[in-house]
Amino acid sequence: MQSHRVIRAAVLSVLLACSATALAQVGEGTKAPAVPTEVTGIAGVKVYLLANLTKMRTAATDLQASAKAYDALVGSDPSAGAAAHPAETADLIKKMRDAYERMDSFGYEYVEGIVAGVPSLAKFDNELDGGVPKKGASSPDDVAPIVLTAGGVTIDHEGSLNNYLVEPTVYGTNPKFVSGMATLPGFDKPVNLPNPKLIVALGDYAVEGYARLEAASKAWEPSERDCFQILVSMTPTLAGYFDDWKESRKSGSAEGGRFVAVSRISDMRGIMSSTRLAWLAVQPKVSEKDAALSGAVAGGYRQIIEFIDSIEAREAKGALGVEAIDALGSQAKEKADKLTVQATEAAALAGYPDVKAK
Amino acid sequence: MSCRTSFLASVVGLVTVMVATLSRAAEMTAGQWHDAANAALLDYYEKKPAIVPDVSPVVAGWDGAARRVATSDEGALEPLPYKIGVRRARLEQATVLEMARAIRAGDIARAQALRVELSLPRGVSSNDGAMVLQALGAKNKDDAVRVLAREAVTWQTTRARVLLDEAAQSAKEPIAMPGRLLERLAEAVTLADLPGELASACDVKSAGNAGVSGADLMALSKHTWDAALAADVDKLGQAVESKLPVLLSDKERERRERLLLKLVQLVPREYGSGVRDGQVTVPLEYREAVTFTRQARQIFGELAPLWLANAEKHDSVAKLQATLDKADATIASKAMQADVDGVMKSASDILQGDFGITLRRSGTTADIVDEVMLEVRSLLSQSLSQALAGNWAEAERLRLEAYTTFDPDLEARLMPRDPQLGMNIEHLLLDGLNKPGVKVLLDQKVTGPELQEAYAAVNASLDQAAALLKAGVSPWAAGVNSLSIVLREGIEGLLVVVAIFAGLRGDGAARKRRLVWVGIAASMVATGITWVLSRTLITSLHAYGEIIEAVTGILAVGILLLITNWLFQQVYWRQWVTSLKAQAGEDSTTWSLITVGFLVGYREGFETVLFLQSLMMDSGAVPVGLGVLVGCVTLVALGYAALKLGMKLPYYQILLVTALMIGVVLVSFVGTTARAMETVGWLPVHRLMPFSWPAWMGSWLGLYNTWESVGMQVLMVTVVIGTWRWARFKAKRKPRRAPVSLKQVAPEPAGAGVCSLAALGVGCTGRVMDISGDDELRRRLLEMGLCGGTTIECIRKAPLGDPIEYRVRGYHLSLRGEQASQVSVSVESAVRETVAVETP
Repeated sequence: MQSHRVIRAAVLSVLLACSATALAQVGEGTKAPAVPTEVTGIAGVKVYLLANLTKMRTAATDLQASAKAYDALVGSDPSAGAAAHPAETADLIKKMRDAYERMDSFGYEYVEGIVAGVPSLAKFDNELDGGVPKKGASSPDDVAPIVLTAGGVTIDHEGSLNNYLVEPTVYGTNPKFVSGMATLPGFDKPVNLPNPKLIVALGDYAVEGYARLEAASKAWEPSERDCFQILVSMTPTLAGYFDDWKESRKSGSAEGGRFVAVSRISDMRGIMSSTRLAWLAVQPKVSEKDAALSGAVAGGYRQIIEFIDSIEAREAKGALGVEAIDALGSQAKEKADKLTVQATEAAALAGYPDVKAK
Repeated sequence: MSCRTSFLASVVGLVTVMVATLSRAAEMTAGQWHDAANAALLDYYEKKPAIVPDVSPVVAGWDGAARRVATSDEGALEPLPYKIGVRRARLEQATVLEMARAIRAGDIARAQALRVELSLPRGVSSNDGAMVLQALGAKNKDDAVRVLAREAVTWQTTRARVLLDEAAQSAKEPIAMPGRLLERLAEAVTLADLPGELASACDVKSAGNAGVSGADLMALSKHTWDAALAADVDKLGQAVESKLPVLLSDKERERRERLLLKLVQLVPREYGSGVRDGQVTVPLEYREAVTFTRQARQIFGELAPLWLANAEKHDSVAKLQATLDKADATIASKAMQADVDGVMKSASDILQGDFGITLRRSGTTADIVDEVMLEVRSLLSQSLSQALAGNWAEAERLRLEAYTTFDPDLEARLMPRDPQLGMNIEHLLLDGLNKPGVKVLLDQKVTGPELQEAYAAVNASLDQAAALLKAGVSPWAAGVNSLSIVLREGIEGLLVVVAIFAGLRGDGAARKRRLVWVGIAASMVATGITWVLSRTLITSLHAYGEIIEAVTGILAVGILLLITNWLFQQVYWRQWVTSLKAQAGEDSTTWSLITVGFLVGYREGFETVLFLQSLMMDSGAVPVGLGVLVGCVTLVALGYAALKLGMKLPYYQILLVTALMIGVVLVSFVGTTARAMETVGWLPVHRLMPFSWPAWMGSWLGLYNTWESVGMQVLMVTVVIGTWRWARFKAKRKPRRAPVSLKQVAPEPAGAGVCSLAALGVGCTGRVMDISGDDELRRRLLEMGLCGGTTIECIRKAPLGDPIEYRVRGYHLSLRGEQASQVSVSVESAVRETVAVETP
């Protein structure tokens, strides 16, 4: 019996060591921030949030600086300016895209679970990332409040800063935000050039917006209730992501202009990572009441992230058949649905039965 | 990928396979089986080799019935999606059976471990079952099994509906997915076919799966992917859905119908409180409107199959469904109030007109918990809305209405089960626990998150209470609870009665004792009448329950105050009786004594009736009746012993002990009365300490954490002690028979060995010589045997010299000092102590 335990421990140690080494290898090339696998109580969630917000503010400042440099370089006729300074223009566009990715895909997405889940911060999610355009919105609550005019373009409630304004501008996927086209070194295809005045205005907005979010986050006093609210609010969003993924893959459709920079799977991973962090903060409380449920929820979050990875890995190997896509999407959604119900149950057991999905 | 990474990945893969092989030999959880099945399905759809994972390692140690269900043969059909669909459903059903076994064995941890393996489709709730396991532990196992099994089967029927819906949708799509269609239909059809053991655990009848066979499903999956297929799948889905286990009894169906109507009628109210001109003004209210609409749709989903069994209702069901769909869209778009009112009125009209549903509550059983809870929550929600709008008086009125709704229907049920939770809810509605409660904040006109959190805390506890109440009470627990209620309330009353009788000793007080007994007997009759009428009368007095409690509380405190003072110093009582005599003659005294007995008895009887009624409604008459019987016998024995002992014990000691006990009861009464006055808004609420007090301090000592209740108690103690001290002070300053000197009684009594009986020293004997005073007193003393020449011995005196106990003709007699001073005696025995002797 004793020897069996020793062998088992040895096998597990080898497995863990190999996994850690493999993960370290995988992580070398990624820009994704490291998400802690444990936190020191509820305060740890805030520490993580503020650390990432500092990086996002830096990224927003870089975007602002690159946008101003780009505006100064290409002037009022971006096509002509880019033709005159192709290398500098290409460099600045890459810098803007890089700043955007650091600000959103590998920045905000990794704290979105917290920001959108905490009542006092949720409005920033609407403004910076989650809000939709007024046109076609099912609820006024979902409309991002941004209104600005720059470079001859008027933006009047046309969606969130990250997904509907900055990304389509720096990647040139929304014709309204583009000013000409140029062939630039380092790009395979001709590049739609961002409207220089507009991207400067958006850079300014980003710096100011993220500063406001940072200030509000510093003022936030995290509580157990907040953590459970994060879990109960953000976990259900996963099912929607999986549904979207399944439908888009089955139909082969692309969502015009958005989620170009980084795949939606990355966004899901980011949201789940920060949501899981909130779980880690309150897990001991749930364990006291129901160890099995606590283990199931912990395992559920881990499995969801593993599942996201496996989807990515399967996609990387090649196109999936339609039934496999349907099955994969349904399996993922079922896990997310179950986790949602269990997160709500965990909140109820911990004394917060009134915490419900928003 | 670099070579090093590839190598490491290979090592990881190899070790993973090794570990998986090792662990397979040991055991497998249901969750691991589901993961393996999912992986097999993906391989199958990707045209890779795949096998159906064996379920044996999962169920190896399970109960026979569960194992049999899990391993039941899915037939000779080969396609992997079909086999996995069937086996997945059977494993779900078997897991519930095994969970039930764990609960019955009292192994709650194992039950929880099995429960987390079950599938949870979107939109279901698992809170109630979790709370039942938490609240009941190993107790009340049959109820827990029933609640948890029904909960799990509800999840399974919901999943079956989802799968049938998905199958119908996918059949309409232009892309052929025969394997997925088979997988979904096989699982749904199997879930519909509830095994007998599970149906029994849920207390429902299984209607089977509409006779759908595996061959039927196979035929469908091989069907050409066209419009006809969509129609066939749809038809099959409807047939199976109509046979899904019906978890609603007639009573539950009726309750759900009423709940649906109530929800439909509440939505416009919540919406109006939360949305103004298309803008959300109070998010909590708007969310409640959304939640209520969602709940209405869910209940509709449960009821629709039952209604559809009647062909005449088909049109009405379709009409109602369309109306609820429209309501959902209207609320989501934050339309104008008139639109929401209109669509909800249509739904309400259909429910009342086409389905004949009314809001009449049929009886007060545990089944109405949800309904009452909904009403309480709605009232609290409106109260918060009014508070946020600055309408403080209206907010307080609604809070009080919420409490008076909660109090008779839920609190009375909750107290016998979990008094701590019952007290907590009361605290949260008033002074609060660790933070200020709702009334404190309303009184202080506090706005912002603190107020919303206070309301949310009440809602949270209400949810806990609802979950607990749904679980029911076992007969044994009901019997024990009813016994403890009778003893708790009875002993309190007994204490007061013993105290009263202690002051009414001797033959001279026999008539007064009889009058008190008459009052007590009348209170018992009134309690009996209250019992009979409680289902109608008390229900109609729900709104006044707290006011009645406050008023009777004030009366009881008044009576107790009199008794306490009487016992301590015999000042008020004598003055009161004398005054009453002077004003209205002997009749007033008679009625006063009867009233004393009645109030003491009825105050306890009324409360006992309330608690016992609710307990009996949930657990039946037999266990409650047995508990009451045992309680009453115990009380009679205790009462008999106490009264006998009281008569035998030295007068002074029994007076002192009972006075102290009554003092404690008085403090408790004052506290609970103040609490009732706070509840009805007659007193404000200000928290005394920032932390919460144990609930027992409130239920046993009437100590509540507010300045008002504690202040009144301190005031009452001050009054009682103060008047006692004042009486002593007066006695010293103005002696009744001045001047007084300390002398030896014998051999020097005043005159020739003659003194008043009052002056006779303790241990001395004398012979009665003469009785002065009025005729009535003379007559009474003569009746007591104080005839001329009778030998009388002084046994003891109270500290103030009054009353005095004597032995005459072999029995003990207590006389007031005033009465004894009217009797002249010749001193016969030697001196044993120093006494005060009157100086002429």
